[in-house]
Amino acid sequence: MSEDGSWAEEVMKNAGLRTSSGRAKEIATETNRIHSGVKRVAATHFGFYDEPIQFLAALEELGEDDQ
Amino acid sequence: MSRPNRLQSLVELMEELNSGRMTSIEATQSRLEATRNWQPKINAFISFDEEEAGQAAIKSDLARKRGETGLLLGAPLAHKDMFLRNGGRSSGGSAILAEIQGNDDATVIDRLNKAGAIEIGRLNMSEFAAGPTGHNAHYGHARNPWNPDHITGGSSSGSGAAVASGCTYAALGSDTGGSIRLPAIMCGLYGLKPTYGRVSRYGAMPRAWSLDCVGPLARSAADAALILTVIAGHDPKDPTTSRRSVPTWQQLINKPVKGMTIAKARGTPFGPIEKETAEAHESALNAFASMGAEIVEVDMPNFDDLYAAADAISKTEAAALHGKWMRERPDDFSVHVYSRTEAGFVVPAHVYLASQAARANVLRDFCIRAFSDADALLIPSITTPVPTIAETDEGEPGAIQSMVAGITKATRPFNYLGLPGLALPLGLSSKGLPLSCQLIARPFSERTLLSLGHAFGEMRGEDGMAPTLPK
Repeated sequence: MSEDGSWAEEVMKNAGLRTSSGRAKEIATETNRIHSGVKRVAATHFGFYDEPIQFLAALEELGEDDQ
Repeated sequence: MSRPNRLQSLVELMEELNSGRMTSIEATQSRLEATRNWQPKINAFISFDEEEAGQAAIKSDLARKRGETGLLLGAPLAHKDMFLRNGGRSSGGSAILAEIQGNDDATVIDRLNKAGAIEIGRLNMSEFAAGPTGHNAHYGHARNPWNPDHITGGSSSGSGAAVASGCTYAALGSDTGGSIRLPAIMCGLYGLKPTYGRVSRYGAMPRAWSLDCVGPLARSAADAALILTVIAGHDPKDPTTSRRSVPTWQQLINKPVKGMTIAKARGTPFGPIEKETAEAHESALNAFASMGAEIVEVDMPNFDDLYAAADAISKTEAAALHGKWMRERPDDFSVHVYSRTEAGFVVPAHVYLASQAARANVLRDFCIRAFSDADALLIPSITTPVPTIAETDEGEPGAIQSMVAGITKATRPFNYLGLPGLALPLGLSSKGLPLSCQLIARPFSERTLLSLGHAFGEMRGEDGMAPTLPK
């Protein structure tokens, strides 16, 4: 996504929030950082997902019997 | 530097109350006196009601005379002001929530009440539980009892300040990106972020429901174990809670350190660490080794990416929660909270969902890396000394974002992973400010964390160190 912030400004305004071009640019940069990080973490494979159920199941599966 | 005085622990208080050597009235009055003395210096409370607390203590003593029992019968406590009360108001540290009257008790409050705990007041917090420093534009900044020029950490800022100063024996906090651990870290306390799903969030003000956890801040691991025993367990009102049985943790925290393996991260996964903090961290590892633990090195994932994944969830869910108010009442938000939530309106839905979908596999990968050969991971908590209020008093959104990321870089990734984490106090720095590290373990391994914390505290003999009331 472009970092000029115009798209973020439009999204913010469509959401009914006040913003400025300068602030929208910062938000675009922040959003791109998040997007890039998620892309590196989450190589989502085509398949069945049903969160938070699968995450809760993983916690149970990986948890130790702590008694 | 002279050795600080020592504050009584919650476990010790309960022994006094149960044996009849102390009454709840005496315990409550002494904490109210401490509160009167400390409040002007540290602003730990949003409100406290001496009359109501005194009446509750009288009732508690009468109940005890009638033969009633409870794990916390007569214990004067106070909690972050974000839990629903039937007929009461909880501010959430905000100007907005204080207007809303509750119609039920939060499950954790209900469980504390049933255990006989007394509440002496409501504790300060970052607005909407969204800030790692303890700044609050509406109720005033909380200040660190060890040096009021310094931050308490947040968002459970009042919980950290009130427990460290001795105004309360323990306190509940909530943790979405470090908000139990950071005030514990910066105020010299034990702060337990339980496994996601270990403690009900019903009636707890949400920040980001996929990450939020409720847990205790306390002056000893045994105190944290006692509170956890009372509040943990399945709750039909919070379907994410685990159906695992709840042990009596305070009786199980003597798990021997000898035979355990503690992992440390290879390299510096959170970047450079200030020298005195790094030395304290190393000395903690040496202490566990001297108690018979084996220390191993493990490779860590890229925590910046896990941080981003947590951000995708926390900002988006916060935007969903606060959108109406941000549109209609933007001036009722501080720039800190407003600006930190804005990106949540812009993060695409597929990024949020990808972050959620990856979570189970990322957790599996992390557990293999960290816990295949280890019972717990000892890792930095913050990489700098406890900052001053002035150093973190940012007013511009970009600077706020950088400051927050700097403070929470070692805590937020573990909310994404859902793992339990214990802030472990490591004594005081040469400037008299708390030093600390984090212990992280497999899901539902609170016993391991509390046992390690308990053994460490017993060996060091520094639990309950009391700061001096500033003049």
